[in-house]
Amino acid sequence: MSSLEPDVVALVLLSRENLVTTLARIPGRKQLVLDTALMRPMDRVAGMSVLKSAGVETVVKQERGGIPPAPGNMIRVYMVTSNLIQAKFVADQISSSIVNNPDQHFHIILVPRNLASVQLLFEEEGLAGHVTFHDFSWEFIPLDFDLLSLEMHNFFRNQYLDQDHSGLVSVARAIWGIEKLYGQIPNLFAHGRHVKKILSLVNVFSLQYGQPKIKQPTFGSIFMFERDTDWVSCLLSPLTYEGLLDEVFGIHCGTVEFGQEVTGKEGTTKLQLSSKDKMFEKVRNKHFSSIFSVLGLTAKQLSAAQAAAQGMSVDQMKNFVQNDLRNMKAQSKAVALHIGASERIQKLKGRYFETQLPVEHSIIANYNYRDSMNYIKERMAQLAPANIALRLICLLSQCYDGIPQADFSVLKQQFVQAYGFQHLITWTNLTRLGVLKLKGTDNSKTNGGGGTGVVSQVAGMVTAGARGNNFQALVKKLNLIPDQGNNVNPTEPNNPGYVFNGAFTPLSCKVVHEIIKAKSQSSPEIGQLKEALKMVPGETILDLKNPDAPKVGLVLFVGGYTMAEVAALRWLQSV
Amino acid sequence: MDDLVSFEVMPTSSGSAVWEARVREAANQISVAANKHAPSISEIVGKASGGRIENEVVTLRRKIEQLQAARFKADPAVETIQSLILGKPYSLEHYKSLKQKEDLLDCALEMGDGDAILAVTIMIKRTLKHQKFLSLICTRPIAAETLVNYMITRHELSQVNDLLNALGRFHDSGIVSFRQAISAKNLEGKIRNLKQLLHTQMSGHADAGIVLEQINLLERVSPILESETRYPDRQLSGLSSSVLQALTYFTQYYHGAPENLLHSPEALRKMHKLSEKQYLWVSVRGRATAEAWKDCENLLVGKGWLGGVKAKGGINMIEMATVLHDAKCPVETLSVILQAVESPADRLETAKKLKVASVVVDVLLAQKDRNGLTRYRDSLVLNSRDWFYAENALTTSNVKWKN
Repeated sequence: MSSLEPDVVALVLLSRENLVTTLARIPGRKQLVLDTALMRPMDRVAGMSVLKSAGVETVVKQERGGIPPAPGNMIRVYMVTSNLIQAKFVADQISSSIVNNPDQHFHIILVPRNLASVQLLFEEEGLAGHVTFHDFSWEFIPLDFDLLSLEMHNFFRNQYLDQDHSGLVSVARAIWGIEKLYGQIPNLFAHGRHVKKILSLVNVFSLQYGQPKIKQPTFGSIFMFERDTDWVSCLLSPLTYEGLLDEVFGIHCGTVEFGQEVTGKEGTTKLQLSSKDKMFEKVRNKHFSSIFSVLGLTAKQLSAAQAAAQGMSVDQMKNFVQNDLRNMKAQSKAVALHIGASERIQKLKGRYFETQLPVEHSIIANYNYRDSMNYIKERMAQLAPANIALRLICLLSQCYDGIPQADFSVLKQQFVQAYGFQHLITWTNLTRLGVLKLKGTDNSKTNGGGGTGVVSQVAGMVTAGARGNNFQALVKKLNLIPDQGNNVNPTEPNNPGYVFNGAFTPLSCKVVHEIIKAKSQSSPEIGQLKEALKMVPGETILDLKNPDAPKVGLVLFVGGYTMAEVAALRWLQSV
Repeated sequence: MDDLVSFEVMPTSSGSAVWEARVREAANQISVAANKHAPSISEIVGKASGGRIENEVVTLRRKIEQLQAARFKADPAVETIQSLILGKPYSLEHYKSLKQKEDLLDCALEMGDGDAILAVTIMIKRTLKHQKFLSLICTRPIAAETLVNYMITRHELSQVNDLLNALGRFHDSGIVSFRQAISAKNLEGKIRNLKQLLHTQMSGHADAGIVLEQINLLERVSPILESETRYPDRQLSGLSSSVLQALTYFTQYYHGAPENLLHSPEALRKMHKLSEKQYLWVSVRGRATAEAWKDCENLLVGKGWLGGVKAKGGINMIEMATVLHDAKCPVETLSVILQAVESPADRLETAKKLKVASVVVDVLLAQKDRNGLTRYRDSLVLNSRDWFYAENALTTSNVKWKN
């Protein structure tokens, strides 16, 4: 690890210490009942030995329904995600437990924080006297040396759909944690509707917990983007290997699960994605068109290295078995998995990419609306997977600044006819989020909350040109569609737009690029950037205190990132 | 058996004294902050000011009285909200006056913590008469939204509807009721709920038409589900899930049924005003599953102007041919379908991919491409039927070859 890169292990160690402290507040021998949603992140933070050191003797999965009483005189400690549904499961279990044994006392650790609504639930169920609440939040969890995640799976839905802003506090607390370990970050860029609040919440934590005193900060800049500043990057098909792994198999807490179609044998195999996997390191950000040749080349190199290991002396062999053998075994397994996964991706996606990608491109470029509409309708008639059709419809809405009333109704009707009437709710939710829009309605005024799908009766008279198209204006100002004549070369791309097949450069990548290029905060390029960002909901905060700050940046996506954006930002580092 | 391939070793230490020190200091600060307790009386009172014992006693008594009175006074809003944010003990008890309530809520909204906003909103709702509460909440949309979603999660649905209606959000109110209506366990329950919905919360709603369609579908499908149970091999789950799934089922088993029967595909098409594209795609796949290839042909192609073959409904025939090929459609049918692909170049490429030799040969012949045709013949299995077809084209036709 070079000296430039922050040592992310410190974050894990801090999380671990906090966990142990929290558990240590509960005296005695403990049985830990763990929410399944927390298992993967907890695996990354603390293993069984750490838990044992805090007095936890057994760990049990939290399940709905009954649960046998804790063995011996162990205290049962629940560790669950802090939400009402989990709380209700736990409350029900506790209620039935105390029927037989009314003197029992339980402890509940709420992750990431205690919530008033949960407290209220327990009070109403008459259980407040039987439980003690604790809270625990981990720091940012390193999924790789350059990738951190808070693993708050409900955050997006809570924050943006349900307008439940309790997650902001946890984000702020995590930022405080970073500044505490790595020093206060001098240069700041943030854009979004809630970034100001997040920043002031960070202050609250600083006042309460203490300011970071480190003189030499590791991070020179922080760039904060809220998820709703760039829906397009979430809707387009990613073309990098890692992005496709996520699309086809799903990456959860840095791990992918492969089934029989990839492994050729029964059961599932999990693979932890890591830059230590030499094969993965080579292919993860590559455009899919070059994947098979890179896979082939790397596989040859790796087996050559393995063959070299054959001619070793006894001493060398001892050293090898101690240090390298494990890695080499893992490496061969990983190579086989990557090859299998790529073949599966090719099989599932290959054919549709030929027709779908050009449609995505033309939607972004606002070209050939009718054809795009027809394509979407045809895919729905074919009963293509619902999320593909829906993503295209949302993309259409984003890039054209809303769908005209007549088309909106037809698409909605055909969608529910194909996929079920319950999707009326899906469409309502997407409209509330602002991802789906009727042309002529402006959701931004209602701040996302209370937005309705009620049509303005004059909608039929609003023509496309009447209102400026915000998205197109943004694209033009920031040059987000790479010049097609530039001929984006997939193997050695000269443009971050390659992650979307040359169709679009993720907004975050563009912004970060502009800022690090800029000489000062008041330069004309920065002025232009700010102008362009007015098209994006939310406010911009820009405070570049220290131009000589270390050239290490932290890009924070509030609400989640896509692997394509990660790849684009990684590409930026090579420039 | 679950298998895990991992390159990570659980870190036991960071290998650097600097980091270890930083981690320890951070952990300490967090733990100390969590333990910070309310200041004790002696801390508040402070060191006794110099002077005689009597003075001290009087001062202390006064301070204790002040403290006891202060116990029941509301803390400044900012402090309470901060305590909420930081997970420290707090009380919303003493915000009795309307202004105090409003200030507290506005402070929570300003600081942005959703939990604080919800806690304060719930407190105000409990301690204010409904009308006053509504007028307070109407001007604070985020607080209203937070409360609405909380009530939905707690299944307080009639209250939610009241609140939404009072806020003028009739569309959302309809959707909330819709969600409740379709949660009924059986079809009859769903139908009943939806019908009532149309008369009440969703009458005049923008989505009323869709709800009506749903009722129509469920009413049609309900008796069919009953009667189809005599065919234990048939997959019934799709029937009630969506219109097109029902159509798939009907076209698979009841193609051509007269319109007065419930399970007639035509009847379904008319009722839901399906487009030609929707109807054709689903019907063809239904017929393909039933291996009724002639029906597929008839559905898809008709006579063109000059006696040729024309695609119906503006369907993408390349895509259709590929789908049929994947469904193990016989080559004869595919060759008919491919005739409807307009561009010869597309037709050629697709035919090659799908291995429909007769079409490849026909196109190459029409293009007078002897070399191409020869190469293609050579790629076929020697003396197979396809090989002979290609061989025939090469040898017996009176063609002015281009090459």
